[in-house]
Amino acid sequence: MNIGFVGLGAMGLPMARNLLRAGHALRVWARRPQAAAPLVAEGAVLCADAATLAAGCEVMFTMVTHGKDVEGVVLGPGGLAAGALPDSVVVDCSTIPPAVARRVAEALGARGVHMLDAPVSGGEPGARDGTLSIMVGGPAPVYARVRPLLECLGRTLVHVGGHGAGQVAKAANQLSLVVAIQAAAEACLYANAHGVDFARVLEALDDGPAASRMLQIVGSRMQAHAYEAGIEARLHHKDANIVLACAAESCSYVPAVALAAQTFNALMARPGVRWDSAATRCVLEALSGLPSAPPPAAAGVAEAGPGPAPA
Amino acid sequence: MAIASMPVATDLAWLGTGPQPLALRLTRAGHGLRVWGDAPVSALPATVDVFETGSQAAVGTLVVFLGAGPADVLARACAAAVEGAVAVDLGQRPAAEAAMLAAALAQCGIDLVDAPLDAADVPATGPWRLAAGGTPRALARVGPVLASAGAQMVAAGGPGAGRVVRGCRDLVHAVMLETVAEGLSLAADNGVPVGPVREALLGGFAWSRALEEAGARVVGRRFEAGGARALRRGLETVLEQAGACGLVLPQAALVLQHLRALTARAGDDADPAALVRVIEAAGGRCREDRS
Repeated sequence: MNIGFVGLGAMGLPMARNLLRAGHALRVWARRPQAAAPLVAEGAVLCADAATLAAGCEVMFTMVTHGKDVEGVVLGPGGLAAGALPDSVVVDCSTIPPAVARRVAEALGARGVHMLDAPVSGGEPGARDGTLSIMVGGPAPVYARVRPLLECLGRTLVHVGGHGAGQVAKAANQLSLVVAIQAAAEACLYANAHGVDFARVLEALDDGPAASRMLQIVGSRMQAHAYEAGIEARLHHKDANIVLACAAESCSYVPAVALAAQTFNALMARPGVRWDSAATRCVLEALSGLPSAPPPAAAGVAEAGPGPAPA
Repeated sequence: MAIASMPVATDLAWLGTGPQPLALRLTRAGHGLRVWGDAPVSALPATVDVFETGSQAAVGTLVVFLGAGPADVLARACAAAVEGAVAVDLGQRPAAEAAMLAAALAQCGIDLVDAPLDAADVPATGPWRLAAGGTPRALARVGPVLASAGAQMVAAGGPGAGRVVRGCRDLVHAVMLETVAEGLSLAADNGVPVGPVREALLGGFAWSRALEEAGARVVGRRFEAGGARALRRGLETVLEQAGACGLVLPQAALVLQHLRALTARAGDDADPAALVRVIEAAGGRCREDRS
């Protein structure tokens, strides 16, 4: 199948590569052409803009950072919509507000182009290994058409409902992550204040009711004060606010994520360029009047980090 | 008295009301169990020796397991154990009481290992894990006994470290239950079915034991587990201890408020997964439970 991919960052690049390796003809476009270079070397075709890319594709994937990035790359000048063939499908894997996903779907629908929101969870390892969890919103027949492609990217595929439902599921997902990170930070401080190595705590909690993937991922970095970006805090900061916007729209009571969002606000205010989310520990230390480890070295260290970033 | 090594199977004392699945697994491993005060003793195999007083049960033992019960009574009973014996405190007592127990035992030359444990933590078969705090010597003594009951002991640190780990566990467990409640409520409020949402979340970074187990009860609207009070008390202890050393733990404090709301409305036996009903009630959107 002729497939397009826009947004070749830390997540998008390995996802696009999995489609290419599954034998599909891949057309790519990136704001920075060098982002596409590895895939072009493997046989992908680099297009001049998103509209040109769309003109040769049945299905187009997008993996960018913000809602406005999706609107820009799909509906903006030279965007996918400008070149998309009738009955083609845009699959947006970005994490954006459900309301934006519905708006883009409506605008595409008016041009006879289908849309699925298909945000993913599982990070760079999941993207690389094709083991992501993919939360799909949109019409069932469109999902059925695209499903074989999603199977190249993920292991858990769930069609949760109509347009925007995938983004609602992703909001619930991110709610869980950002709150879990703060819980880990609080437990880490509590253990350390009582002279207990948090590594022992992680070992004990790995097999019980408190076990979670997030605890294992951020916990050891918290104990080690290793704050070079693994999962960039700026993305969780963005996601926490997407969750709050979604909750504001449905008038939902979600105080724990509201609290976590404040912690990420405070973290983003601190000097240091790209914090890992494990650095939420520093915010709690400041609240408790405890000294924190020094901030990570400014830009450069984190640039090469594995955190998801826009193309 | 120096004791070079523990025999593989030995006589153990079991005082107070402890997690019975552990008592069962110890007897199955071949240990003689000298029991006092556990109720119902009828749930234990006929091979256990039941005594009228704690002191009688403790006589001649090298390892004494302590369950729930008055700390002063348990400490007096331990005095009858072999000098240099180790007491393993499985109870989840307030910090002041635990300190009193440790001091009383130290006077008799008995080491204390703290390893707070619920019956639900001990599977009937297969391996499991528990955190324990104590001196290296005491932990080395107790580790093989616990291993014979299938437990991998995590040596958490010095005396009191087992209770600190338990505090961390209660904190993280309670906050994860809150994420299940808020996340699934948010989905439901937006008209998205919670079953598929849970399934999708379990496949990615949001996997948690809480979502797997409590999440299934939220999806099925069957709140059949208990334990809300124990979790609430665990968080109360954490926050009390945190306050004593000036720590700010905002999520723990928030979730404690919700657990209090839950036990106030649904009783001490409430299923902590029913936190979701507290979240729903805030917006007046109680969804129907199945009986």
